[in-house]
Amino acid sequence: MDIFIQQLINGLTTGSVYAVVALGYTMVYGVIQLINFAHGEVVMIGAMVAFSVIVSLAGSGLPPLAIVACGIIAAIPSCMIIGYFLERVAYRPLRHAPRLAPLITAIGMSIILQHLALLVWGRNPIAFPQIIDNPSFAIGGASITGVQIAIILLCFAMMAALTWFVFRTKFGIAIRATAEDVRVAGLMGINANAVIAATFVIGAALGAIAGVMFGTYYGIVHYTMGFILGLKAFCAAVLGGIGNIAGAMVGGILLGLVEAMATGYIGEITDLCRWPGGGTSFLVERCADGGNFVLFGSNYQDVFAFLVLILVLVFRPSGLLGERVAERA
Amino acid sequence: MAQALIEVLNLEVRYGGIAAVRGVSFAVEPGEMVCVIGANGAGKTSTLKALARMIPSSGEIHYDHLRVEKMLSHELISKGLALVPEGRGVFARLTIRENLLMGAYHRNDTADIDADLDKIFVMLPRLKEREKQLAGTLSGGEQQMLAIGRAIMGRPKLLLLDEPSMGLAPIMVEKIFEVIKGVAAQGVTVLLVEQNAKLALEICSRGYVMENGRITVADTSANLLADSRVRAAYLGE
Repeated sequence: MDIFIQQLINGLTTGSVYAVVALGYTMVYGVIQLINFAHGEVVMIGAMVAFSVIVSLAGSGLPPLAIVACGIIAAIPSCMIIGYFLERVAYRPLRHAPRLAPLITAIGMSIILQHLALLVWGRNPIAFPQIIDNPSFAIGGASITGVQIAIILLCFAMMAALTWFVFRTKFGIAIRATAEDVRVAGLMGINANAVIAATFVIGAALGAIAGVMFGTYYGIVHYTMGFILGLKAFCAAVLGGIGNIAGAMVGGILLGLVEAMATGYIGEITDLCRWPGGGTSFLVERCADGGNFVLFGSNYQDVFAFLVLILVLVFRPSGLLGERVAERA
Repeated sequence: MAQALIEVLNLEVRYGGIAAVRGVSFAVEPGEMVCVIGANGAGKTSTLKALARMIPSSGEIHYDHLRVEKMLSHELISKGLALVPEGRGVFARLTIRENLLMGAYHRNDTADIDADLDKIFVMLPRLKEREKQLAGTLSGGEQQMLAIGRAIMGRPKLLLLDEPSMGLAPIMVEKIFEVIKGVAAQGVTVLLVEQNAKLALEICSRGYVMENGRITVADTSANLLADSRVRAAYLGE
């Protein structure tokens, strides 16, 4: 039971980070049907910028929380500028090109950003400074750290703020209108270019914060970290229904939970000694005295997100919350 | 002729090598209600889309001292030029209220927007009942009402309507045309494109007949309704 609760907490933490990153994919996709594969790299740059700021302020005598806050505050505009730049330089000129062209450009931008980070921050994994106190609290045989609590709360606050923005403000409604029909939105006086740029910039700002949280949580950052994180968040967006904002949130959290649970239990489940008849044949020696023969260990962690992606694409390609309303009556 | 609100000179629209509109000229004066009738594929919709800058065109479009052909689609509504597009174009995943608010997107006078919303709801009570429903749940006729209401929220001087009767039951068409008459009565200039020539000519003072991308007849509605060629071609006689 304690594994279950522990993995629930861990899953909720990574899941809420996935959810915030997934929002960046889904908002852009919702408006221009482009998968911005460079979004993961934007998240990475956010983590890197915050790293540099935190390191340079570490000896300044500022309180640790203030230093981390400075890191976040520096990461957000940096990522927003990159997000804007990506849209303006890489995607806008290809707005009316065949769908494949901007997709390949997205992969290209992703590689460019990775290698820029390689030049600036080097090729080795960097230890992300753990300067804030991270107390641990016990619940039901498991433990939750202060950082985990902060990540979960901050992610939910960001999701709530984005939901409010998109559903309650005039510009948010305009984003949804543009997502549905760019031409008619133009007739309403909505400048499609401004809306599209805004989705990139907002997604990048959320990504920046996610990057800092990721660095703080795992304690390590690397110039390639955006790749796998971005792919997983993309899986989360597809799981929830790409283009659907609520879907990205649900998909992210669900994916984090699935991943954590699978990682927590896969060792037990694939332990042949626990299978019926497992102790009989050639395994007798291995299984004696509480031994085990585990087929897949927790190092298979990264597999599950893509397993989920495959299952979704096979059984429910529109995702959990995708397209609930008829397109046109 | 008095100063026209919109004057189109030698408008041409091409899709690749095919000319859909071949040198069309016409004008609408302030307060007028004018229709363009014609068969499917005559170039009526392309003409309206060109006026709203949804598609490129050549020729001159003079509107209220502006040169529309040099402007972008999203700049027009703030100048008072609104189009209710063919097929209604309501935002199905937005609520009715949100759709109406998008019509007033370019305006910043919050109090007046609220007052206009109330007016629309008085004019179209069906929409008031369903204010918070998604527009995709409305019937075709209600969506057309919403599309017109949304355009009115922009306080247009010139309202372009593209086939508002398309795909609707006759009783709904009558209601829609009542609404359009009501809008015109408030002083909005209306340019109506319709295949339902009889209804269009009955509510408009003048009409243009379009055939194969050209205007072939221009006259008052009364004369067009009496014209034997028009009666044979468009009024089913």
